[in-house]
Amino acid sequence: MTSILLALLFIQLTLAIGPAAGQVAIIVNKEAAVRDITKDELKSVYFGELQQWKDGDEIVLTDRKDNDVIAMKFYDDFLGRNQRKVRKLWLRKVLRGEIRPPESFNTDGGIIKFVAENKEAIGFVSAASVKNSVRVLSVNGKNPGNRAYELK
Amino acid sequence: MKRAIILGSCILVWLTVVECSYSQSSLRIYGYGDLIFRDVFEREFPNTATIDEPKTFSLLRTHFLVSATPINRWRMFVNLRFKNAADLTEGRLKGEIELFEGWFQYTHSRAFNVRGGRFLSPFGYFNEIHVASPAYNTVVLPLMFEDDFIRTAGGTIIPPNSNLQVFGDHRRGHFKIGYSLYIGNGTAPDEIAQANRDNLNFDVNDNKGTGFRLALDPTDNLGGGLSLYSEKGVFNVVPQMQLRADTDGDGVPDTPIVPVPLPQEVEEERKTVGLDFRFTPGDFELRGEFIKSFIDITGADYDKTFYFVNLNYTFEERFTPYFELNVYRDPTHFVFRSELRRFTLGAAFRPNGFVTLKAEFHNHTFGDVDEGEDFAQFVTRQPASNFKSFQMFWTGVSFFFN
Repeated sequence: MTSILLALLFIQLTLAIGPAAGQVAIIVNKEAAVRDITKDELKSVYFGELQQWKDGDEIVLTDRKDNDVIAMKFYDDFLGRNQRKVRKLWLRKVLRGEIRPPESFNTDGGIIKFVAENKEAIGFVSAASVKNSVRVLSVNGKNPGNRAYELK
Repeated sequence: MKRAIILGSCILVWLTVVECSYSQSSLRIYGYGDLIFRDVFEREFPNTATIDEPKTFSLLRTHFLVSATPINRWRMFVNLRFKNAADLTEGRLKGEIELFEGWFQYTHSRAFNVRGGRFLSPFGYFNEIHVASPAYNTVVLPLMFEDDFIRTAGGTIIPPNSNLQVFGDHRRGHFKIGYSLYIGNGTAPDEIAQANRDNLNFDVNDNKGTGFRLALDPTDNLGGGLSLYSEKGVFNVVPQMQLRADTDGDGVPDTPIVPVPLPQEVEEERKTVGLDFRFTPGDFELRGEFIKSFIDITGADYDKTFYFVNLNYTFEERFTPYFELNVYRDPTHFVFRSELRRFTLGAAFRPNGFVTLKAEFHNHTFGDVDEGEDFAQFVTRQPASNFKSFQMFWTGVSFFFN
């Protein structure tokens, strides 16, 4: 009986942490007009080329201070350029006045709080740590948890 | 008491308004600087012994940048440069603040942006990173973009005075194509002199420039551009570079190293073509630029060529050894004897995203005095330099603050 309960508990925990565990979620403010973003658009946003939302608001980038697993998944695996190269690109654009310096945070919590408070902000966090205060964007029409979701 | 409450309320309202406007305008202040140490440790002359120069330690440059988005689609940018400059009339150093860049930009879409104000012409890779020393590996930027070099060699850059630019790009997958159209108002030979200004204090001059740039990035790690520029007007050109000649008490050079002729105002037409590229396979990076200017001065035509290549490799995202070659060919430059070659070997270390420590060795060599008919004609008017070669060691700290 105990082992059955333990097995049920394990299944429940697996489902609870479930598909989002280890995945990266792209988050924006709840008031933002956007709900889906393509991989090309994300590249353009994080490479400092696309700087405005469709309503004309300036896109405010957020970044993680440490090059952790989530950052590696996002930059190296998904965008195809490591965090150092992307930061170097930012620095060049920042010094030329093309983009404003991205906001850097130590934790998912910091990014989520900032995005929740700033309508123009965008960030990437562990899908497991997402809260209701922000909106998770689908990427190429797929949400975290979906088999075809690319940010995992 | 009532007055205090009203006053307090006023301050509160004022602070709220300030806070709102601050937040809405996305105002950001940041900047960068370079601290350098230089040692010229060997000079070789054909007719004299090697001469040592004092070691130099200085704050090469400090820039404060202000970026703001006052309203949607509009961006404002100000780049202030702080520097020490020699005041030759009073024989001392004086602090100067210069508006290095200041512009407004309207963004309609990625494909269409308009920028107006004071900014560097969008000419090739090194104009793009001209002010970005923390983003570049070497202590010293390539020759063409050093202030002295631009001033003395004439450069190929339209002065960043009053410019207008339309630009944009389009991306599809990895492929990106960009364009830039540019009009520069230029600068009178003496932009401060009242003689060059009208009643409304406008700088009136005939110096005008137009340009076009096409940029192509076929993949994320390969890209380049083609630039074409045309300039016409009266340029204030110092025909050679003063390279720290030893002087006596009166400031007169006591060695025949570098005679200093007066600046010349010459009317010329200049057409410039530039090619730049970057290739970044993995942690390797190869960058380069080639520029050729065709110069037409009344009664004389000649051209100047400049190119550089920089190859580097980054270990563990922190340590970057590099090699760079700069070549400048100018038949009118008698100190360089028509050509200057600079080989640079160095390394950069980035302990974090804000600081870069750099060290590099330069070896300069010069062209053959017998090369070039134009040069031979030139030295009949001016005394020739005795430079043969010299080496320098530079260390530097670039810092970015945010």
